[in-house]
Amino acid sequence: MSLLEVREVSVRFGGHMALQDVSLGVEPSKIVGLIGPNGAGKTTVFNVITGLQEPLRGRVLINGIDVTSFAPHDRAQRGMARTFQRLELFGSLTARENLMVAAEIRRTWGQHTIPAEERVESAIDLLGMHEFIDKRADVLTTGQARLVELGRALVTRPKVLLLDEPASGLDASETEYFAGILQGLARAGMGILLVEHDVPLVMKICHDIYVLDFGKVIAHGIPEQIQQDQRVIDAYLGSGSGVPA
Amino acid sequence: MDQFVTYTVFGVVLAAIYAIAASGLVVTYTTSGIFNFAHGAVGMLGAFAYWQFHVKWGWPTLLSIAVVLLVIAPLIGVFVERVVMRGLQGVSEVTKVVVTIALLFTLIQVAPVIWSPKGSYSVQPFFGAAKIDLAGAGVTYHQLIVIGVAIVVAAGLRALLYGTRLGIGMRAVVDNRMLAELNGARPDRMSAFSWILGSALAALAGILIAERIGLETVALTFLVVNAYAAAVVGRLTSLTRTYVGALLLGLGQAYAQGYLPDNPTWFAERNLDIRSLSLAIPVIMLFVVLLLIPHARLRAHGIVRSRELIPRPTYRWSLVGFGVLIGVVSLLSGALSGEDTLIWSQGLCFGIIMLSLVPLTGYGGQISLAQMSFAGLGAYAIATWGGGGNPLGVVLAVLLAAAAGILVALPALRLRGIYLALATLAFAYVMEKVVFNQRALFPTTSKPVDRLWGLESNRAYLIFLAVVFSLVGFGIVWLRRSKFGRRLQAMKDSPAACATLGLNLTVTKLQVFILSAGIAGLGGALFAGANRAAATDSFSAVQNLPVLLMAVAGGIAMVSGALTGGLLLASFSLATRSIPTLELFGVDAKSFFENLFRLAPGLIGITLGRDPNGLVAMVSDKVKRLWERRLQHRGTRDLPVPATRWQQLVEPVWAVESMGVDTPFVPEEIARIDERLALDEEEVRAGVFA
Repeated sequence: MSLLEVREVSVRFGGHMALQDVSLGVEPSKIVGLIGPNGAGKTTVFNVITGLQEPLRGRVLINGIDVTSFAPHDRAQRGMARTFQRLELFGSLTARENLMVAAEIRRTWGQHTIPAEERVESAIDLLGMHEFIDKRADVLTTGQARLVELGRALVTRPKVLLLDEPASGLDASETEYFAGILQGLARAGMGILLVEHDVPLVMKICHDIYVLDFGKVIAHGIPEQIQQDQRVIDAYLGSGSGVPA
Repeated sequence: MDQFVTYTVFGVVLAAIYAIAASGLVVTYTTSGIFNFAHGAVGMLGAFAYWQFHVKWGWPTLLSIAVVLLVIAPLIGVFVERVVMRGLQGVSEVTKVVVTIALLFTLIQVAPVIWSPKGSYSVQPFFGAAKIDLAGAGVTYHQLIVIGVAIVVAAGLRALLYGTRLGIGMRAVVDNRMLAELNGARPDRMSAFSWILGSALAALAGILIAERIGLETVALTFLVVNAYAAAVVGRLTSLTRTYVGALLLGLGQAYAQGYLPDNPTWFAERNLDIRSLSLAIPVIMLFVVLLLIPHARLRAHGIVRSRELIPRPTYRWSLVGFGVLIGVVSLLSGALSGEDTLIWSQGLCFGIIMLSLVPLTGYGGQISLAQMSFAGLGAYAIATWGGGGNPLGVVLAVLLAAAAGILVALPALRLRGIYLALATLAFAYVMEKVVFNQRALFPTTSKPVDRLWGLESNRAYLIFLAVVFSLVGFGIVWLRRSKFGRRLQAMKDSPAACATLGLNLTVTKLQVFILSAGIAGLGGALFAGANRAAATDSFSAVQNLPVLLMAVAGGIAMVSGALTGGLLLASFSLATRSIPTLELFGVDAKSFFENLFRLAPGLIGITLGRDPNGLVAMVSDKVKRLWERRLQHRGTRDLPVPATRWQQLVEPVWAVESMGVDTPFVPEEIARIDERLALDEEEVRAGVFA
């Protein structure tokens, strides 16, 4: 059974169909890429999955349970966490407090064997955030803030993680390190849905890729198939996509 | 049948006036993003100005109306926009709301200064009692004119907002101010125009309804509650639905007045009067609509860089502070007269009531305009069950207020903050008009109260209040440092992120609202104890305004801010009392100063946009800066003044600088860019909207 399943979801903004019959699935231990040009509807897919956007039709299932009518917090409590393309940190709290809040919220439901502080410390270690962890979140650089958002999502111990352009604002070595972390999380059993414009990164770490254009899935497959797909090359990758082997 | 037609016409006329008032509210809200609580007060001023020109000075009707709508109302609008609203960039929704409430309070206080409450004011309907016959019922020309005006306003607004460049520009400015500006719109001009239009519509509604409800400051001002109810049907944005809401409301009120039976004997025997419920119809409608509105859609909005700070006090310094408070009160109270002691006691009680706003508004970003009404319930509880100083009275005061809090908050908390502010204001209005004036609850307007544990000495009671303030204050410091405090702050910063992390926002808001109402109930019980009476006029709807204003002025996110706010309120009433009778340059200076002190909470509130962190933060910031300057370079002059704390937070993030441009363009560079873009100077100057 898929950890996360999106079935034929459509969203309309006024006269504009932002999504049309989009379906996708995320399995445990898999990193799934969702790519496409700007305005293709990637963030809207995330908003539908997390409950911030009501779909016109279609369903969202977490662990086989239909959560389409659930409030955002109910969905999160079923083991889902996300980051935001335009960062949504708690600006008046420090980076550490951002993580603490998330860990404490996590402890209000489900079983909790490890104390919140410990969980927060291990996230700080994992993502190497010691340098700026006690700064207020609204003065962090974009790259730092993205790490804090990821850390905040991780301390809720999600089964499925939705990342909205997590590598933008990271330099080459940070991206390399970041890719390693995501692969490690997947090996530990987490399902990851990744929206990202860094095509080499996506091609390198994703097991499965969906390509979205004008609100429709125009291609789906393993990275090798996607790179060869003429529609994807036309709509997004371009002929000189420079994708590494 | 005749009767039915009469009531229907009456309902439609009421609806027309509500619709005009509500559409003014909607116009300002959709075009400036600020919900103007002072809208009704502007209508009230318009009605009084009309009386001045038409009745007092005998100007012709049309000329008087024209001067009010084309000169007075626009002047108020421009003043509000220029002086008050323009400083509100980068402040939270709380501060925006509070500033309009300060304006509301100021206008309510200004009107009686110009038009003495002792005078009698009334205006006649247009064309007197002349009427035409409609299905057997008489319809006056005034009524026909009102309905006609509402139709013209609806058509005009629609044409303006959707069919003209100005209107489209106004909407663009709300959607994205910076983008609109980059495209040549002039946000300041658009914003000023929308305030002018809003003020004129408010004044128009005020003039049209004045012949019916009379020229009474508070009644006219609170008429706006009815307009809110209509505007909420249109979710504060849709003009069509706002008109539908107004129609439902007007007809509902007319039929209720016409067909509701006299007070049934069963109620009369129990000293209850259900006829006053007809006053509550707009509020009931507001609550029903709030229940029907679907959950607010949570939006991600990026990191909010606010100028507002939420200090994190240490336990040690808090204990020192509370110790100093109790010590100072113990010492000074010995030197105070009995009456002064009483006023400072009231100040500490206000401080406790203001403490209730610290977690709710300061940490959680939710606004309540009903804290004094919860306090009133607390006062009722102690008067009823606290006989002989029984502590049960205080316990029940807290519980009763908290229970009422649940009732008010439940429908509104699912929605955005502004709806909670509206719902609480409506609740305060119902408490005053329908609940507190039931003879079964308050046989007269005041009910005797025994002080807790028989603390008869005013001095002992004052010290006791300082201890209670310290205990509650310490609890709030603890809360601020606790998980719950962090969660509240997170909720204020980003509701969307909280929800996607699994936090149930409604439950969290409800928890803090119950806590807050309970503290207000406690404050009310102690306040009644200080006065030895629970007097209903202390807990009227208007009384909520100075409490919120002074809490914000002191510092809404600080325990010390609540104390400062409470003591300031007390000092205003002390100062008002102690002004000697004197005349300066032939003017009665006593009443001038009295009015000034009465206005003070409003005037202080209006300036909040300049420093939303309140007095305590402002003073401590200034002291710190001076100190740092001295330490850094003793004896060196002309040092740059260190940035204030919020400047340090905000300044590095100006959009242009974050794009890598850190020095302004010089004219040559601008010319070069224009050349590259093939723009000629004329085109640039003309812009898109000019």
